[in-house]
Amino acid sequence: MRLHAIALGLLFVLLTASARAEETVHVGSKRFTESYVLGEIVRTAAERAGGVRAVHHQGLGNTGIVFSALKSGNIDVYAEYTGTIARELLPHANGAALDLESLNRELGPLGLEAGVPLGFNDTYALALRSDVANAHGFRNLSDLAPHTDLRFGLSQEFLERSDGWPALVSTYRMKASRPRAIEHALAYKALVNGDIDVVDVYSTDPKIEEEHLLVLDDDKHLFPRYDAVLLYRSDLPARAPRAWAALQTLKGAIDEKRMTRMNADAEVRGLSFDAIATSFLAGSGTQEVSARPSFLARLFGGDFLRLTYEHLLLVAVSVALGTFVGVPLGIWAAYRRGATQPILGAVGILQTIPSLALLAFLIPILHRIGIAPALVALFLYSLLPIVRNTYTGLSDIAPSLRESALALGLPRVARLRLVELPLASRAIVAGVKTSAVISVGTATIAAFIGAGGYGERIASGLALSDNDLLLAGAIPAAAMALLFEALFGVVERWIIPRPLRG
Amino acid sequence: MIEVDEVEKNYGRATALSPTSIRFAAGTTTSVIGPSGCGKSTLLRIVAGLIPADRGTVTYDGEVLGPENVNALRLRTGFVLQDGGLFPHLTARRNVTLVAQVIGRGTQASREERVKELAALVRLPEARLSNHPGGLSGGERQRVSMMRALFLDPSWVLLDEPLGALDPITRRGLQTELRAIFARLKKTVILVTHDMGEAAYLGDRVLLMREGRVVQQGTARELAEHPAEPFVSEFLRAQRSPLEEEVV
Repeated sequence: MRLHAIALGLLFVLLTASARAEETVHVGSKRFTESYVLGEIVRTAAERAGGVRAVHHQGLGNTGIVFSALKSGNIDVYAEYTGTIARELLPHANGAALDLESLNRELGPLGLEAGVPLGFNDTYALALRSDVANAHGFRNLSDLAPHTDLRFGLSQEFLERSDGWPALVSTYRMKASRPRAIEHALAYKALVNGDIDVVDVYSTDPKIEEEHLLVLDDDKHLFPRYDAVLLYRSDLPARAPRAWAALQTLKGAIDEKRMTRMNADAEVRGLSFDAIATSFLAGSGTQEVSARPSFLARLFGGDFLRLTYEHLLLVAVSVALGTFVGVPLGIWAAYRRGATQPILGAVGILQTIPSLALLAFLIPILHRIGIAPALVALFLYSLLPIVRNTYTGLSDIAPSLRESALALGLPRVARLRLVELPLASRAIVAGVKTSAVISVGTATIAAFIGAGGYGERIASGLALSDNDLLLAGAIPAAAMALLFEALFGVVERWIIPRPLRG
Repeated sequence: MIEVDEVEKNYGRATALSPTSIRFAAGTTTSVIGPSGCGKSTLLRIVAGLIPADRGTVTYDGEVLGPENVNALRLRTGFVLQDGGLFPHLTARRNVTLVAQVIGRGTQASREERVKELAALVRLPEARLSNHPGGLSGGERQRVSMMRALFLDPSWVLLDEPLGALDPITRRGLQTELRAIFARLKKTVILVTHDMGEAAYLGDRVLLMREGRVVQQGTARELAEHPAEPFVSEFLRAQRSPLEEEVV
């Protein structure tokens, strides 16, 4: 009966969570500072126009994930670069002209359009520390080519993109050994420390100036123009006309300097994306903020309750599903001899799939980003401790008790419900507890596909290389894990019969 | 009456029970005795339907034990294990009434009446029934186990070393009481034990087993006076008397 009550409660939470539908513009962004800032500007502009709600799904991993989210309709619009559209998103049109008209001819059949050029070109480039560059006399990319001893630290995406490292190698005949893949925000630190020599940068990166880096000239004109534009679903203008009109005012509104400054506002001055967008749309320059907001203010800042709710929802629903599926699976594994190894093997293998890989894999299957794939992934991860503990708890019941229940003539179901499950309850509850605590940690990954939760702060903290923001996400997650521990202390007293408690 | 007819059980190449036929007469107590591994527990478990025989049949009052009636027959059979087999998460009272409650036998009041009656029969103070098995002494646990076995007023009672884990004084006391209970209730009882004194004291008949077969059956006196083979005398003499050393 208690379990039924819990199930109903969770169902209610789920329904209320999904029932908040009205006309909504979903804005996406990739996982780097500029994309976050532009996403927030688009969201704020759309919402201010009135008539719609606008939601910003922040930092949805790499280009591939954001683009598939756009194609499947999970988001309506995000800021993209013409070079990326031509070289990466429309690979069969490789080498096509970069004007909007040519791009839209290719995008049209996908139900997508590109438009509203924002006014700046954010091209890829390679950069070194000025002192290193000067010592070797490096000025352009061709100068690097013959050197075999340079250590490259490139972002994962740049390494794999057809307009990235592979193009560099074939155009410039780079002799350097295989570059190391490194998180972009961390690459600067490694560069300054001298752990690596060359990094990939965006031309609007504020770190270039701050760290006195030398950007190498693309003397063979490998990189195309990366003019920032909005990439959107073709039905957006008709669906949200007022918001669309408001977005037109962004045309040509941001020049390279302005973008660099806004990136610096986020990365160097620690302003929130929200504040940057607001001050941009108000037409003012950089806000005169003397001090960064205090850590406590950021910890419990505006989105704290929303993130807590989202995180809690992810953990509670996935572990509840894991329990409803995992306990029967564990029972099955314990009583069907042929089923034991397949079941335990399968849930064990699930656990070995890296979480980001599983999430990326689930997006095309479920045709969506956000909560659904995150829940499925967390649910699959929650199974192992629950199934295994249920199986072990049931298998460890003393043979004399099993025999005694049988000899009494108790029907099968009663034997399970009144004798075997209560005797195994300690192990089962411990399994669910382990699952819940692990889930709190794993759920932080869900932010990479727009499912929200504390991971949002961790992801943007990583992108901005902002340790305070990282901690503002990691600390509440740790606290939530402890809370779950405590909660299960109560659940144990409630479910496990007194004589069986340890 | 319980009839065992040509029942046989092997584990791989090891014989647990050679083809065996026995009749357990209605209203009598039969003690099954023998050294460890003689097949006495296997025999009892096959009779209880807890493990299947390789061949042969077990018949309860003319009804052949099979998968379709095993649970119905279990409800008419009381079963007591060495350590009582009581469920540690339930109170003694709930252990006793569990099956009746699950299958809906009787009313709450009639079940309560039955608990009182049985508590008196096994001489257990009713207040002890609120304890969980962990809070009872070994002797008390066996009394509760006996109450549970008798609750549905079974026609047959099977006991597997019921007093095996008790100290000698408790054990002797319970032997006295069990004999009184068997005499009073006139059930068909099969008692497995390895204690010859207990077998002789509680059983109307004794059935001696060795290496998976019945060596001899009869009253304890018949076994002592007309042993079927030397092993019978050897087994009867094996129990050491406390003063043995002095006698020699």
